Amino acid sequence: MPSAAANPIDRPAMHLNPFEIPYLGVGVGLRTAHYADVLERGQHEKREKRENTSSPVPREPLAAGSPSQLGVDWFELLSENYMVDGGRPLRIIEEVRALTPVALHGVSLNIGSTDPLDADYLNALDTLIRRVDPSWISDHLCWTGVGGRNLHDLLPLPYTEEAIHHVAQRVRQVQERLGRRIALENVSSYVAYHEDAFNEWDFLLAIVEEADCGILLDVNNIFVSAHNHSFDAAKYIDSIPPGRVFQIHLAGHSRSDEILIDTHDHPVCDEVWTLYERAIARLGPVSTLIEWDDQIPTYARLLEEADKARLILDRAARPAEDRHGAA
Amino acid sequence: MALRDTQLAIDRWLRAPEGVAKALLDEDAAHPETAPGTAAQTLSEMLRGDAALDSVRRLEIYANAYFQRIFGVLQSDYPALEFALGTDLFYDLVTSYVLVEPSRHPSLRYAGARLARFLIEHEAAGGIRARAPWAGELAHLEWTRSEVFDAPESEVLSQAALATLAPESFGAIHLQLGPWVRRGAYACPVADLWRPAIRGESIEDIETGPRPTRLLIWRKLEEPVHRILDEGEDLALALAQAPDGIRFDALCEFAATRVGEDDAPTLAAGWLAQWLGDGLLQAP
Repeated sequence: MPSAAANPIDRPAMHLNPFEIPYLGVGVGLRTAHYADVLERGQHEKREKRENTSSPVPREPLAAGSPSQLGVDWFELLSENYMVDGGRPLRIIEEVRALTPVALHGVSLNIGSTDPLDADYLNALDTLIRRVDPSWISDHLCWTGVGGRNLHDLLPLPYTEEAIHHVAQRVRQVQERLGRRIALENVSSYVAYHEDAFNEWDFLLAIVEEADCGILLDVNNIFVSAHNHSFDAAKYIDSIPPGRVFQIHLAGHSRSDEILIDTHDHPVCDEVWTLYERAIARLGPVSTLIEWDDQIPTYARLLEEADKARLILDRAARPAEDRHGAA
Repeated sequence: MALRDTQLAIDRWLRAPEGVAKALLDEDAAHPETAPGTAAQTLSEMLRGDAALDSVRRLEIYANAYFQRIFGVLQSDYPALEFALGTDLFYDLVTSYVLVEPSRHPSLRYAGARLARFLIEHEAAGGIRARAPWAGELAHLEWTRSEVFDAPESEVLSQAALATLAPESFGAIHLQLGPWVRRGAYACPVADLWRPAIRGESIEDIETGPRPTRLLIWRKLEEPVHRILDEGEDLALALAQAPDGIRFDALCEFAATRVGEDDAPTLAAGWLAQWLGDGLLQAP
């Protein structure tokens, strides 16, 4: 099991934000369909490292910002998929963790529910954290069930003072239990409440300030919700404070009648790439992840999307004179 | 409306079996003392709609996703059952099941955990039981296979480890099944049904009438597997599955009750060789 301080790919953290969240570069969500590709590339990388070590003439090291043989700098693991006792899922994540950093991303913290926090869930998450030593953990600003039942969906909350204080105090409880800050992701939504007293981004910011937690900024979700609720996505991006954002998500969506649905079954669309550039210009380099969960493409195709994000991140990381072509 | 009341109302509407619009009508019908349209008014005062899509249709997006998500995961948990019943009947089964057994676990992985019990015991599954009396046991086998897939780890007792022991110490070998092993007793030939169904082959010629079957279900090389047991081996495995396990000399004594003193060592040694080969035993 990797130690807490280990960086398995020997790449120094490039940037620390005020919450000491490392900048990892570009990642993808680890999915079962890609296990074989990832592990094969990992073996290739290990072999290359061994040959490099034994060679009398050292080869050129990977430049910062260059992908390893894996094609990405890190993976995001869906927490619930690995809250199991044994078998292949745990063997795979231990192998992956030995290759590269990981972050944990949950869908069932149910932080916005009026049910009590699920102690068993938090215990299982804590066990998983100890197993994989993630660079950070995240879940969604939503509720997923009530009355002891689980709807397995990311339902939006009403944007009210009641909800702000309710969620913020629960985030504090979770952070105390896990001994670390978490990041909350803005969700896509198809309904909104009459009693909303805030716009979505002010609601999000009020919670993260009161709870002292981070943000997982999903740019596709902003685009989808902006379409569905007729608000200005650029204004949302421009309100996000640099330093609070642990990570960015990019994904594809689909259209159903007049509504956009966050299906994660398409490439990232042009408008979302434009919003992403705007976010990076404002926030600086932030670890970025491509999500693709349905109609899953080949690993190579997924890496093409990751490379698009890398180009934008690399451009943002270059000094201004470089970006403008100055001598 | 308080946040809890809002969430309980949405939960009720999303889980309704025939969609949100029908749920609103049913709610009014269940409360004849209220004016018609009261439930719809409650929803429209809670959620905003617009010219593009009204609030009911917006909520239907979540309602459809709720069912489809659970249906999808049950399809992947119960592929043989779905094939054996046919997709239409399986769809009806899942519709009835989620009404009676809404998911109560944070992970979708466990949404289907009660399907076998529902099929075997619940009156809402009576119609399916009449058409397919074997369905509950087939579901039980498939769920058990998924349970052993990610059951707890422990070091496997290997043949190589035993090879280092002196013959006189063999009697004291501690035999304990690993936590990735289950035994199942079925009233019908469930393994005979599972085999063609998982391959998508016809089950029409399978004799599905009552025929007691004992199965061993376990994880081998990270994959769930199962095989049919005879009564003697099943009872021997039960001894090795007890909290304290069993010593090899005690296994020989049990074998003697089955085949007599003379043949007992051969029978017990055969079981042990089989169990080691299958990877059933955990290292002490």
